[in-house]
Amino acid sequence: MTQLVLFVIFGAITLAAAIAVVTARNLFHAVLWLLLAFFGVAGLYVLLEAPFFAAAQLFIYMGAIGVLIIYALMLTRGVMRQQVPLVNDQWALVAVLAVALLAVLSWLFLQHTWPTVDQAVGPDSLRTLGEALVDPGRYGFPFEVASVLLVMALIGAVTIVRER
Amino acid sequence: MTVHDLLPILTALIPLPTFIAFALIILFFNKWKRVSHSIAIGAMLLAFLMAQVVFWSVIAPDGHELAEHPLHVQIPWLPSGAEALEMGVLIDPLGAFVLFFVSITCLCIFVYSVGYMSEGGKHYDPRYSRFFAYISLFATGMLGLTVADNLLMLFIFWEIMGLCSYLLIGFWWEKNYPDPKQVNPRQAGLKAFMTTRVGDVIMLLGIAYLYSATGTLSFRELLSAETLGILKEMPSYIPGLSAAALAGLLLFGGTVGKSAQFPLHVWLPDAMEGPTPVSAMIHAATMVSAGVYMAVRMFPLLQVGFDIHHGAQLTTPMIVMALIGTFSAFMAATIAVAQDDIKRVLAYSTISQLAYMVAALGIGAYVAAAFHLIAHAFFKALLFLGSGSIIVGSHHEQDMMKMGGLFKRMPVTAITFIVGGLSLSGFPLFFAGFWSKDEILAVAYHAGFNEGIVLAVVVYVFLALGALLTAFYTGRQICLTFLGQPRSDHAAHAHEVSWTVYVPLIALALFAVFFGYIGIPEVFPLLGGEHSNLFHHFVGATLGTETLHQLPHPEQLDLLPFVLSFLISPLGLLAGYLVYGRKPLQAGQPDPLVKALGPLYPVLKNKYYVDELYDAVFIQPAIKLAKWVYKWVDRWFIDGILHNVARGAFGLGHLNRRFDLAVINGGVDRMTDGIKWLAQNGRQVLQTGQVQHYLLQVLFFLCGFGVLYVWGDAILAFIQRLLGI
Amino acid sequence: MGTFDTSQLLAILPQILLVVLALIVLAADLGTPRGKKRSLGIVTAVGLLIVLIVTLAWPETTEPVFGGALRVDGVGKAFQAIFLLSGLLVALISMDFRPLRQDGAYYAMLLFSVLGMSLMAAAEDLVMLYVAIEIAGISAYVLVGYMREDALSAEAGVKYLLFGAFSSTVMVYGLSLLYGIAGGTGYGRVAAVLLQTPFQLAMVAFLLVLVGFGFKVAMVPMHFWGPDTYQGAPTPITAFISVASKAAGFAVLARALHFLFPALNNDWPALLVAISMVTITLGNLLAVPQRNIKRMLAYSSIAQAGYVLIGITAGGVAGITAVIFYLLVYAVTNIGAFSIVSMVASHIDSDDIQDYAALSRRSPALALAMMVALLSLAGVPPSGGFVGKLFLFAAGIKAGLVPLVVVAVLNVIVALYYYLNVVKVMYTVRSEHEEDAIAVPAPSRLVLVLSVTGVLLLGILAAPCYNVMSNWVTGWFS
Repeated sequence: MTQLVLFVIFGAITLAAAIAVVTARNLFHAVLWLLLAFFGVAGLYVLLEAPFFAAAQLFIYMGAIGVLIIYALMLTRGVMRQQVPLVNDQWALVAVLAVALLAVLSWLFLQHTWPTVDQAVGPDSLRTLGEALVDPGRYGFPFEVASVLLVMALIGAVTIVRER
Repeated sequence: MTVHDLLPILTALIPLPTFIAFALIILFFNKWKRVSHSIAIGAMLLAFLMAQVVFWSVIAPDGHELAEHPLHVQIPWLPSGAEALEMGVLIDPLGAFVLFFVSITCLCIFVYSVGYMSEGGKHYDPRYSRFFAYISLFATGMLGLTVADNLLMLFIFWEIMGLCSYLLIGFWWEKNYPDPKQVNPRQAGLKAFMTTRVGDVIMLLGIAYLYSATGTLSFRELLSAETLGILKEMPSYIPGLSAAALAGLLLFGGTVGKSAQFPLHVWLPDAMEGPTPVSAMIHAATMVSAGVYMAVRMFPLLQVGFDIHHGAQLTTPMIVMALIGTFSAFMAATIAVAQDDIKRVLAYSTISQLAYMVAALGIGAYVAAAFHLIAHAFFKALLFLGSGSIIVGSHHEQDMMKMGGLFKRMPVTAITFIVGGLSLSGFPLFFAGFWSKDEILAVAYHAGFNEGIVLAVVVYVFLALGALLTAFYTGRQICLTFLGQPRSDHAAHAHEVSWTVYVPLIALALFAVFFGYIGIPEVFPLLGGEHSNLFHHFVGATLGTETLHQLPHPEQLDLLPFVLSFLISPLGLLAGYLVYGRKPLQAGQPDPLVKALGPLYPVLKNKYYVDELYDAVFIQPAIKLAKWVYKWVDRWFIDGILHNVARGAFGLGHLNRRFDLAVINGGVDRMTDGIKWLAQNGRQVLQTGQVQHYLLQVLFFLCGFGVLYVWGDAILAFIQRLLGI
Repeated sequence: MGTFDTSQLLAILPQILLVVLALIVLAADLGTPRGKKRSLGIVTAVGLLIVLIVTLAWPETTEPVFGGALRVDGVGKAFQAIFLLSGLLVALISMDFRPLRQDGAYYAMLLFSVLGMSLMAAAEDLVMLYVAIEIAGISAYVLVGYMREDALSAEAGVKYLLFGAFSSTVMVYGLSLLYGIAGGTGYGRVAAVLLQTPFQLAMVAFLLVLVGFGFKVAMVPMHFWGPDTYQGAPTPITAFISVASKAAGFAVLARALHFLFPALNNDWPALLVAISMVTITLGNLLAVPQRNIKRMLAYSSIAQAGYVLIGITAGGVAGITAVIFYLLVYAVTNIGAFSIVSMVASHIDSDDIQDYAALSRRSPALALAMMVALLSLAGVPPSGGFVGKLFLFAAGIKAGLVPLVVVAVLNVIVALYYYLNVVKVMYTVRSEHEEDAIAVPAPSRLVLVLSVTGVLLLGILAAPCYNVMSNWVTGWFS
């Protein structure tokens, strides 16, 4: 029961914040709402007995990424003060389509019985995760490649923005 | 891997250098004339060397070894269904010899062209580079055709040569003659192209038919005993003809076109409008020979069913070949007698000599045909090059009536030309033409009188008569050109052109003399011996023995043809000398033949009026038909319908207009505006340049398909229920 | 933790070499003076050549490596070779593209993109696939917007990024659906579970994933970014994404259809046939009115993607082999065409078809090479494009897709019109700049020669190439 209540609370926080992100007229406010949405997701992770993810969500998303976005915003003052229009001429059409897509997907989700694990997550789940990420027989290789991806993205970003 | 294993690959490379030369000259070096001819000759020299290496590596006293294990390599080229169409090269004894003469004559003519097209280095033709590019491409075609191992490849190279022939005949396309009846180079090129096309289409039909009947075009598979046996039994679309006979007849159509046999011979004399090296190479030595070469190649197919030991039945294709060959040989020889243009005499002589080979094949004399093919290529190339030398030397004079006395002024040309002429007329013992022509006549005589093939008797009589005429017009030509006094200023100031012109002449003259000695019949007195007929042993082996019903070679000497062949040529030449040489013509004096032949002379002079006949039967009716169709079908019927519809529409429109003006003017205006807007922005409706619009459309399709797949059945059922179905 | 078999590293040797090469180029950039950075293109090209040789020389394996993340089989190898070849040619023409600022990062990005694609071609795991697609994608965004000062290039980069991010997001949604259904990320496992999954769920997951693949391939309706991006991007990069990126999309699509969605074997062909028809027709029709040659080639490349879809839909050894053969031909042809566009643009600063007037007089070699490329794109014998189309159509007919092939053949005729229009302008229209020859620097000349000979050789020696590729493909079906 407690779980359900908590789920509703965190879910509501996440959704409300997400809606606020896309409706906020001020970009800075939108970022703050985004941080709140991240927090809501972190709460959901806790409910899913994934404390590591919850912590990562807090540290990385709310901490690092949020700060980074705010930092970037501060550097581009013009954008910060601007009151940008929120919708364009096709918002109604998009809304209809989005609802249709939502309907399709929700209907499918409700139709299908999803595979679940009946036992609780073990105490050493973090260890399992860590091992899976470095085991060459599991996700070791994609993990390494992801590091290449990050390096590449870094170089690319620097190249694109640096002074010429 | 030994040297021998490399030979097939070397063979496959032979056509390549000249093709590269063609590309290089056309693309990059067409501004530098000397560079162009250096590239072309260098490439041809390379091809020549490779060809000679191949030839001398495979040559042997006995051809059976090579015939059973020819140089052969092939690669799958175009996967078509389960089987791939294969491309490859094949050198068997026949191919080896053809490669030998093609490479030699081509090289000689390349070198000669340097002198001819620049008039000895003095006056370069404005399209000099292009000329060398074209002849390089042509050489590629001929060399490729020689080494091809299947009919399709042969046909491709065959068409390349056809294209080059067209381009080169019309090389001086801007030339026009005051007399509208005289064919100019432009028309000559077209005529050659269109006429040979008739033959080519028939040949392509034959190729397609063979492929559909056997599933292969490779010579080795096609001409194997097994395949031939199947083709022999297979009925064709035409009752009474086997598939082999029909295919053979269709393929022979290609020979008729390419080798200028009656009734498609009309293009070759006009093709003389091209530069003389072209006449020598394409229209005497190589391309026209290719037609006969193809017939020789396909001989096993043509003779399927011919069995000398059991009743000696000639097959339908063979009968057709014998008849066409005999007729063409005799007809062309008679026409040649009455021509005054030095190159046209040679052109008709070419038709006539090629017809000898066709006729020889028609009575089964396979080796004799091949032998004459090669010997003819040498001496006819020599004669053409000699005539070209004369033409350039005497300032572009082609009319023999205006020549005379050139022996003193152009001695090298004269001697080599006379050697060629004697070889052509088959002067006994010393010249290649004697041995090759004698072989055809001997075989024809043997087949006719000893084996009892009636048709061969006809062939022998007419070919012998033709040989006499050949000797006569050769004598006439030599006398008119070289003896007596010059009959024009041009001839009086004639001179040798340059070494590039006469060195090839000398080289070819040697072959015109000595080539014959490799084909002396065994039964020939004194000179003949067990191994004297090397050519026969080598090339004759090409076909193997299982399927071939080649006419057996005479085992003993037939006295009559032997004596006749000694007499025919000297007699003909003597007659020519008596008429033209003893009392040389003076300037302006008419040809003595005009009087002697009476009403026959205009017929010969006008080539039996075949051109006029074709004009009346094919060309004028075609033009009339086209005009009729244009006038009545197009203008009257179709245009009439359109015009009346338009008129009716106009009438309706006028009626409508009143209604329009009054009622829907405003609405229509708006609509036209809308259409105009759509026309202008229609492209921009979808491709607006706005990413959000793009994404919206993606989303739209995504949702659409999602709904369709998830609820498609339900929606369909719902609609059906609504409609009450 | 499982024991690690070091021999697995050998299977990804080309990829390791690519990363090393990218780092070498970046390091060399530091030591190269400002005016000399063009030479980094040579380093890149030579390096790619070595990797290409290694790739081709390495025996293909049928066993998956790294716990099923990759399977470097014959098909994967063939696609990798196409990417490497494209990268090589693009590096060479980049050296001569004047509007582009030469530096190490550019070539490194190119190498990373090739790396991503070569991983895409072999990925058999959802996570691996996603990471690979992102490597190829992000580097391509950077490359498209590389000429930041040029408004068109910047705009193209942004559009490409937005469209790419969108389709990538939708695809991740699909991938997560698949993971949710199967509880694993390996293709084999997902495929097995999908066989017991309701059709609708599997199909929607497929649709979502297809958005991501379709973006790479530029098939309708995921084609919109094409013309705008092609026009604005630096021309060598246009060549690269029109060839390599597209081929990579087909590589993942072919593998996914064969190994990931066998459960839908009866359902996806109808969808792809429809998409293919529309893609071919739309691409060709919209190419007709274009005045800018890059836009025209963009629409043409959309149509070409439609042709390739025929082979994908047909499947089987014949279909997949035809796809690989065609993509190889297309790579050689299209990069050749774009290299000429690039040289002309460097010289006269215009991409208008009108400005190609009298190219045959200005630079006969360029005009000739362009004609060969265009005729190959149009599918005129004896070019490789002709044989390639022949294989695709033959595979289509064998698979019973006759209506699709008929539509495609009709479209080939439409295509002939706009390709020949360029040839007409080059050869028959006169211009006042006829004396002003267009410079062809050595690297571009090499590309031109390779392209023209490649187009002709692939056309003439089609069967040997086809047989080699067919042998590589049979591994999938035995």
